[in-house]
Amino acid sequence: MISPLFLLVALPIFGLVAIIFRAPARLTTLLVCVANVLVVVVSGLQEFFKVHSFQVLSTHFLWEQSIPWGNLPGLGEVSFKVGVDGISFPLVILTVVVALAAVLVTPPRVERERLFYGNLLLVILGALGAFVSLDLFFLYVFHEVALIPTFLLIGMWGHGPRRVFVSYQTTIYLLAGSLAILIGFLILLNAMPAAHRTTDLVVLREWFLNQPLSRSTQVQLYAWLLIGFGILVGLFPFHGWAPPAYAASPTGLAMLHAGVLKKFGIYALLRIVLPLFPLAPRDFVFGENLVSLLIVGNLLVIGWVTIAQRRLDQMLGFSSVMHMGYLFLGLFAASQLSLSGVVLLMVGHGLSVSGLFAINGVLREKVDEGDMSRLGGLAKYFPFFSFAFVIFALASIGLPGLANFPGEVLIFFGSWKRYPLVTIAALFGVVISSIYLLRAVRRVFFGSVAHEGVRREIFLSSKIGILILLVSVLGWGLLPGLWSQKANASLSHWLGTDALKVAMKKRGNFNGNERSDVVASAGSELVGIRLFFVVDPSFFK
Amino acid sequence: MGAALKGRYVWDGVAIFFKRLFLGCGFFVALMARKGESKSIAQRSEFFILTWFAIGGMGFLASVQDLVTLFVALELVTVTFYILVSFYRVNRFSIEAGVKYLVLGALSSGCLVYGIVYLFGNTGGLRFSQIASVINTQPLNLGLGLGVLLLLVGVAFKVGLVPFHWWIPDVYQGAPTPVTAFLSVGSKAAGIVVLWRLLMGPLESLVFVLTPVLVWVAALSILFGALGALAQRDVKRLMGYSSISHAGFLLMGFIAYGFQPSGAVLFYLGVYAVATLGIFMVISLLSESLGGTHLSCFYGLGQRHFGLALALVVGMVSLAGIPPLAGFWGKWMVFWSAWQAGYHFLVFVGAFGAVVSIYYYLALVKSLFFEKAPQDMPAVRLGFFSHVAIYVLMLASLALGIFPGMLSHAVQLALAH
Repeated sequence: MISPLFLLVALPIFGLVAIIFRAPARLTTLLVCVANVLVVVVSGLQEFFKVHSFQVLSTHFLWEQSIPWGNLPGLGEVSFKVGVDGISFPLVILTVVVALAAVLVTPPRVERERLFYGNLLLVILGALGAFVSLDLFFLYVFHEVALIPTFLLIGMWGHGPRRVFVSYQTTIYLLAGSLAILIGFLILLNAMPAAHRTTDLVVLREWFLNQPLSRSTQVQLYAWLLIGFGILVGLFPFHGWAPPAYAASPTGLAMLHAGVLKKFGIYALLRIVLPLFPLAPRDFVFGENLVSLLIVGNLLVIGWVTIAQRRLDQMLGFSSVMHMGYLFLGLFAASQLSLSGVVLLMVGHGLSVSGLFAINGVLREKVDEGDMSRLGGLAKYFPFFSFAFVIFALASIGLPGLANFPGEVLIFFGSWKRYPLVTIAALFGVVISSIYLLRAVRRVFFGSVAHEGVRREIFLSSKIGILILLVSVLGWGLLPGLWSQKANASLSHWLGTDALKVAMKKRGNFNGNERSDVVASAGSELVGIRLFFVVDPSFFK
Repeated sequence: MGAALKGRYVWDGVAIFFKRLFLGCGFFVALMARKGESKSIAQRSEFFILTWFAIGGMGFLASVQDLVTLFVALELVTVTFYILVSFYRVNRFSIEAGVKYLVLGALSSGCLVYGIVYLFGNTGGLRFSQIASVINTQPLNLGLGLGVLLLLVGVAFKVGLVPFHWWIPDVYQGAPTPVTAFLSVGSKAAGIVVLWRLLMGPLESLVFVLTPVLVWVAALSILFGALGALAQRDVKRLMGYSSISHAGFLLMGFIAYGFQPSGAVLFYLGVYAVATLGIFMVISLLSESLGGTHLSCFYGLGQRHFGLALALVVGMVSLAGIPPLAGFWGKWMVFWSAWQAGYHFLVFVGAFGAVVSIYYYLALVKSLFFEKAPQDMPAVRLGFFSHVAIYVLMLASLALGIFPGMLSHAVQLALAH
């Protein structure tokens, strides 16, 4: 039987072909997105009711399948291998949900409709392909598929006077990141003997588990990949492209890029960097101090910059960059607790931030004013949207019961041992984000009506799109236990909590306490999760 | 594998690969120059005959094993191009380009002859095998070194490598567009095949002497082409600068393999040819109705002729080396082999050049899609075959990007025989 993951990748391609042959563009795209959601839901539920199926995740990938792709130049035989585990499946769910919402929120009348939806489908294809691929090269290539469509979407349908400049800036910045990653891959593949060279991630992981790279190679690789993926994610000194790009993007792209594509960098760090070079973060140039500096910069410096923003879209752009700091904190702390927090927060943040951008996009159509100080009282006109905005804002701040909270809290707990000071700083990040988000809510939606000429026409489809995100935000916030165990199982399999021990032993400086938190976490974290989220499906089994 | 003319002419996989490339290139150039498609080609019968002469010379170059044969074949190509470049006689830019190409071409041919003479005087032979046996056994003296240097200068001129690149922008801009396409694919590939025959033949043992020089030539070509193209507003001129940059990448392939038969060079040349021919096909067929090749002539083309605009975008993005298009694999192969061979510096320069180049490739995409079409934009009518050719080249760039195995298989076959 053919893996449903191939279907996920094939559907957008079918959609593209249909649009080229003059099928109605919006309808086709919508159908593709609905079909993708159905594929994920149906095949996911099938697995869910097979008792042992998800437990398999601790050692295997779900729906793993590969198609031989032939002899790629310089790489030998390569297969297009797909499969999902507890790390990537949530991201696939996130992608299909946000994609559906993004298409629904896009107003029905778009100039040059076919080109617009064609590009949007390419972005969706890139995101889905990157998350389901288990091959280094397909991961990279799929992510790049979204590059030129991003350029066209910002430049042609973007907002603001500087959109052409922003589209160039974004594309060049992202390409620079991709080439840094490519150089990282060159080093990585070159470090393997030719006979064993492969791009299959599963094989690569096992290979590097048994034959760890030398210290200097690991650090070199880590530097390239951290810069490359850091640019894609918007890690502190490389974040310059992101806020203007999101502010200028058409709504659908802003949702997909900020909500989904940006997570690719974090996902790749989790999928490639952590398991393959487990020791690199410790041996890095300035070691942990540099990393702490980056995270604090990401959370506090960008946080302050966000507070200073006057326009709603700019503020949301900066806030989405700022929240990447939590993900980096969890990633660098690299305890099992914090990493499962990262998985949860990737989805949570993706849902809440795409909701915020969706409402920003709806408002942009209704009011010709983006400056928050000149807005006000919009709740009177748009009660539903203001309600949804408040919920998404609260989720973004990290209110319990909403999407971001479980991830953030796990990250804070998991990072405390390794980075106590940074964790305290990160907690202040919560305060900062509540300052700017609550202020935005007050300025835009409440107070006296400050703006004339509000167009009150509302499309049902955008309401449905935002409703979908709203339900997902609540669902992910209330039932995090639904996924945290699977994420844990996959994390401990993929990152091999033992891998670090093995590597340390080989180097001869392993002391038992080095990762005691990881070793002990298996028991304690479940207690932690149950303490916070009473609804855990394992209670009912 | 066979030989003729007492070993002066070989018939091997590489020769066949290049001959196919030249023939394919000539085919598309002929399509561009057909009646009703190009006003600049007034005397058609002469044009096609000259094209055949050029292809014949190039085909001979692909098999050459002897310095005199090399010179004769190269002159056949070059002299033909003197005429072709200035073929649009009523256009003063075409005449100017023809004169420039003539003067500089003659200079480089002079260098080439001088080099051949020095080599002959110092080795007593003209055949590559004879020269190789002398170079392999004797230390490099001044005369021999001068001969090798002048020979390579002549070839570098044809390929358009820094510092012998100055003719490219002006000549590319002034020549009739089909001829520009022929220059940028056919003539460049001819230069590459000569470089191939020389570096992998008589000069192979000089690898340690030549490589340090060639590394700088490659790096400067990549940088000069990429940075020079940034300011260009004329598409043909832009393609000229970009072709200098691509020549640098091709040279990188030679360096990386240490003058051994290099799959990367063949692969890169293949994807470069497909993308460049696709771009020039569209430019050539459109430029006369649009009134020029300035970027502003292409404003809003994406609205009026989406398919043609898409073909241009695919070609440009492929040249920029962005997956999933074919150009990415070309860049990947060159980078990969260079990195393996330890030329990390070249890879960094190449990556920098690739990032810079996206700016000017996107400049065309911007004028196609971001700008509004002028009210009086003339309608463009293209023949059936032109349409087919454009879409075939566009799909080839895409297909070779998604299934690069097809081309790498052909490359391996070429290297195996």
